[in-house]
Amino acid sequence: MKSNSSKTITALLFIMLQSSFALSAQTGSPQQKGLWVAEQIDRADEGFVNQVSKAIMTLRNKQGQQSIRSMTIKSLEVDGDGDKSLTIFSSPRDVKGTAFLSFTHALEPDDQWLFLPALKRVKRISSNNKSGPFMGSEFAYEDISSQEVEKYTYSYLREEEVLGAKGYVIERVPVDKKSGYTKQVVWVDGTHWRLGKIEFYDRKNEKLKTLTFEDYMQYSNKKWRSRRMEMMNHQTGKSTQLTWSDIKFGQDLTVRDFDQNALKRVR
Amino acid sequence: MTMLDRMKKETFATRWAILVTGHPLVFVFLGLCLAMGLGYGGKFITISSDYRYFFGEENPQRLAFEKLQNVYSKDDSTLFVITPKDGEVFKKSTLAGIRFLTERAWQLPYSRRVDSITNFQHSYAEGDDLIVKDLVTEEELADPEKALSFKRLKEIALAEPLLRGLSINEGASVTSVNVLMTFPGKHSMEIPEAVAEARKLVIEFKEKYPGHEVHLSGDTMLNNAFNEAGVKDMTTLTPAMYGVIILIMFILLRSVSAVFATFVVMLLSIVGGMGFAGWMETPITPPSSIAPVVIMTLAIADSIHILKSILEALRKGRPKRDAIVEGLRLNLKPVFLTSATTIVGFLSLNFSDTPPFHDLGNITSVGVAMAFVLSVTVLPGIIMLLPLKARKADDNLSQWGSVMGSWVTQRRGPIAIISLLTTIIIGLQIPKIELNDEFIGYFSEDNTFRVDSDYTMKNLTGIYQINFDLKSGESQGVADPAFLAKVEEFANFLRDEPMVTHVNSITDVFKRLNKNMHADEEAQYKLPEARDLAAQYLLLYEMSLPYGLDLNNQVDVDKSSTRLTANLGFVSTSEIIEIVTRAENWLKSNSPENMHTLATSPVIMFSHISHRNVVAMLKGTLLAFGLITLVMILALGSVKYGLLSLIPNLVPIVLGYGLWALFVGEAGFTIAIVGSVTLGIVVDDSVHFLTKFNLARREKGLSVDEAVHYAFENVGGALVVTSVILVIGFAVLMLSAFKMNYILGALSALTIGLALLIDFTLLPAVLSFCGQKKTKK
Repeated sequence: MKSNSSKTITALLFIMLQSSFALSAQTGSPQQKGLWVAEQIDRADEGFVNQVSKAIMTLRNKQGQQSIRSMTIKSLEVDGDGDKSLTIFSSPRDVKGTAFLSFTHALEPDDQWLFLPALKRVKRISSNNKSGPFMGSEFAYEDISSQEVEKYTYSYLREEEVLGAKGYVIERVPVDKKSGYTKQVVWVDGTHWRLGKIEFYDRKNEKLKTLTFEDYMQYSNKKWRSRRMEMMNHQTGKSTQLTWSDIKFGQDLTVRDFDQNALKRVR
Repeated sequence: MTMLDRMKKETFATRWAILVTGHPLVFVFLGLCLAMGLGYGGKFITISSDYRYFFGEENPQRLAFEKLQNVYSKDDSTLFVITPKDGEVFKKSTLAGIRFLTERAWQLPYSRRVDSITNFQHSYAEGDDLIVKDLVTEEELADPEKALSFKRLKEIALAEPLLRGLSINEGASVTSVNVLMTFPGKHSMEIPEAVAEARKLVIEFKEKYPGHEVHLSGDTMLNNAFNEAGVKDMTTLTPAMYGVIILIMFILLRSVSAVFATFVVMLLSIVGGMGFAGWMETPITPPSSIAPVVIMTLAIADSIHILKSILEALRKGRPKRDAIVEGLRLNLKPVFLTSATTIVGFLSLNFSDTPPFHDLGNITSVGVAMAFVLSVTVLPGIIMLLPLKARKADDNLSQWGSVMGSWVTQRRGPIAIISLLTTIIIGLQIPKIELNDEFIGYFSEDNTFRVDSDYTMKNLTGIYQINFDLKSGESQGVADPAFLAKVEEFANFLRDEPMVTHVNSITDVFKRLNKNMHADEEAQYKLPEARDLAAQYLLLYEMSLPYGLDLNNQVDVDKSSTRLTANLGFVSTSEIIEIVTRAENWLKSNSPENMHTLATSPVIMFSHISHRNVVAMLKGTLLAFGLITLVMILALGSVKYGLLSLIPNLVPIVLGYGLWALFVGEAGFTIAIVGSVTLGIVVDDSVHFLTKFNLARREKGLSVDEAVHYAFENVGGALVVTSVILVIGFAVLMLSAFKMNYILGALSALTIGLALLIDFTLLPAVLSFCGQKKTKK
C-alpha cells in the first residue's frame, strides 16, 4: 500500500507538471505535442468512476469462418494507478463462468488472475503475456487493457480529419520491452478526444493490425464510448469485431468487487 | 493449302526471295524492329520464387492446402539449423547464441513467428499458479544461480514431444530456430529479400558466436532454390550453348558471314521469345528458364538448312543473289512446315497442369515463329550485304546417304521386323518408369539448398511436412475428451510410421497442462478428463502466451478443429503417397466421420504433380499428334504417306521412354512433356525425308526404292547435321542445376537421336514395303 500511494503521488505530480505545459505544448516539440494529445485523451476519460457493459467478440479467419465469444466487463477507475477490471465469460459454453481479473499498472507489469469454475480455483497468470492474443482473437491483451499515459512515449505527427472533425495523428512507442509492437499510430478527434483509429506496427516495424472505432455514443455522464471496434490483421487476413452493449456507468461497485475472492463469487 | 501450295509454292518463294535480296537493308531493318519491339518486353521479366506457381489455380491439392492455410495460418518456414562444433547445445555460449538468433529473427522481413528451444513456452506449476515462460531466459543465462542447470534444461527439452525430433535431436547436438514467414505475394523479390536477410543474420551469428555451423532449410529456402536454379540455368546454360553452337557452325559452314548471320537470327529469336515473356508478365521459373537454349537449338536448324542450300548453289558457281534465291526457294516450305509442327508440339504444353510448362511452350513457340520469320528476312538480308564465299565441299555425306539407301532397301524385311519388335518390347517397359518428385532431389548435389536440407534430414528432422485438418464436428469441440483421445491415437499411429520424424499435436499441450494443473505430478501427464476442464486449461494457457507464440496456427477460430502436422524424413513420392493413404485410411476406419480428412502440404502437391501432368499431357500430346499428322497429310498431299509418317514420329518417342525406363528408371514430372516437345522436333526429319521422297515419286516418276535413294542422297546429310545440333542442344540442358531440366534434356536428346535412326531405317523400309505391295497387286 505504501509504495502504491507514493506512486500515486509521483504520478499526480507528473500529470500536474505536464498539464502546466499544456498551453505551450501545441507549439512545442513533437514529443511535447504528442504527449499533450495523449493527456487530453486520458483526461477526457477521467472520472467515469466505474463501468459495466456486455461485449461480444466475433472472430473471423481468412476462410470466412467465424466464432463468437460473449462476456460482461466491469471496470473501476483507480486514482493514480491503472484501472481494475473484471471480465466474466458467458459463452462459449465450456468457459462459461470463467472470470478474468486484472489490475493495470502504468509501468509495472499488470497483475492478472483467472478463475476456472471447472477447477474451482483462482490461478495467477504470468506477467509476460500482455502481447499475446486475448481469447484467441486479434486483440492482444495490451490492446484492451486501460491505456495509461505512462505506458508510451509520444510524438506528434500531423493534423487530420478524424470522425468528421478536426483531429490529430500521433505516434506512440511502448515503454515495455515485452510489448509486441514497435509503435502505434493513433488518430483522435480534437473536440471530444475520441479515438478514431489505431495502427499497430510489429517487431520488424511493419503494419500488423488496424483497429477502427465506430458507432460512438455519448452517455449521461458525458463520456463517449465506441460500440463497435474492428481489428483487422493485415498479415494473416484474420479479423475480430468487438461490439458493446448495455453500457452503464456509476454502478454500485467497490474495490471489494475486484479482488481475488470476488472472482469466485462471479456466478 | 495444298492447292494454293501447288499453284504458288515455287513462285511465291522465288518472288519473296527476289524481293528480300533486292532490298536487304530494308528487311534486316524490319526484322530488327520486330525483334526489338518484342524484346522491349524483356524489361518486365521477373523471376518467380514461389513453388505454388508449379500448380495450376484449379489444382485440387493446391486448393486443399490453401484452404488449410486460410483456416489456420499461411506461412512458409525458414529453418536455421545450428550445430555447435563441440556437439553440445546445452551450454552457455550456444544457448545465448540461440537466444540471440531467436530475438533477431523476429525482425527478419515477413517474419510472423519464431520458435526455438530458448523461447519454447515452458509451463510448470509453482504453488497454485501456472507459470508459462521462455525455457531459457536472458536473466537466467546471465546469472546461473537463478537458473535451472543445463542438465535440467536438456532433460526438459528432450522430454518435450513438441521439441524432441523437431527443434532438438536425440543427442542434443543439433538444434533449430524456425521462423514462420507470411509473404504477401505482391512482388517477386519478397523471398530473395527475406533469404538475403536470413543469410546476413547467419553471418552475424557466426561472428558473434563462433564454434557453430549453420544450415538453412525450409519452404522459403526451397522457393529461393527454384529462383536461384532458374537464374543459374539462364546464366550458365545459355553461354555454354553459345560456345557449342559457334563451334558447330564453324565446322559446318566454314564461313564467318554465314555464322554471323545465323548468330543474329538466333539472338533475335531469343530476344523475341523472352521479350514476349516480359510483355505477358510471365514469371521465369526453372522450366521456362531453358527456353533460350531450346529456341537457340531450333532456330539454328532453320538457318542451317537455308545456308547449306545457298552455299551449295554458290559452289556450283551461281552468282550470290541467285544462290540466295535458290536457297530460299528450296527451303521456304519445309522450314515453314517444320516450324509449324514444332510450334504445335510446344503449344500443346498448355495442356499441362503445371503453368511453368505453359510458359516454356509459349515462349519457345514465339521464339520458333521468330526464327522462321528472321530466317527468311534478316538471314538472306545479311548474307546479301556481307561477302560470302563457298569452300570446297566434301561430299561424303551424300555418298554415304546413297550407300545407306541401298543397304536399307535391300534389307527392308529384317529391318522392319526387328525395329518393330524392338519398339514393342522396349515400349512395354515404359510403365516401369518410377515417378519421383521428392523436391529436394530436384536440385543437384552441390546445390546449397540440397546440401543443407540433406544435413537437416540426417541430423535433426525431416523437412517434408504433411498436415491433417481434424474436425471435432462442433463449435469449441477441440476440448472434447473423446475427440482429443482420437487425435492422440492418430498422432501415435503416425509416430509409429518409420519415416515419420516428428508429430505436432495439440494433445501434447493438453497433457502437459493437465500435469501442470496437478502440481506437476508425472502420473497426471494425460488428457484432461472433462470437457469444460480442458477448455478452461486451454483458455488459461492461451492467456499466458506471449506475442506471436499463440495457438492460432494449430486451432481454428471456432476451436472446432485442430491442425496436426507430421514431419517426414527421406521419402520418395511413392512412399509419401503410401504413408498418406495409410493415414487417411486409418482415420476412415478408426475415427468418426467428422475427422475423416485428406492430408495436405506442398510435398503432397508435388507427389501428385507427375501423375496429373502425365494425364493432362496425354490429351495434349494426342491432340498434337492429330494436328501434326493432319499437317503432314496436307503438306504431302497424300493421306497414305501422311498416316505413314506416324511411324517415324511415334516410334522414337516410344523407344525413348522405354530405354529410359530400362536404363534410368526414375523420373519426375518433366517426363510428361518430353513427348510433346520432341514430337514437334522429330517430325521435322520425316517432313524433310517424305517431302523429298514424294517429290521423287511424283515429279521425277521414280520407283519407290529409287525415291528412297533420292531422299537419302538429298536430305540425308542435312538430317544428320540438324539432328546432331538438336541432340547437342538438348544435351546442354543436362548441365542444368535443376534435375527436371536434366531429364528433359537427356530424354529429348535420346529421342531425337533415335528419330534419326528410325528415319534412316524403319521409315525407308516401310516405304519400300508399301511400294512393293502396290506393284505386286
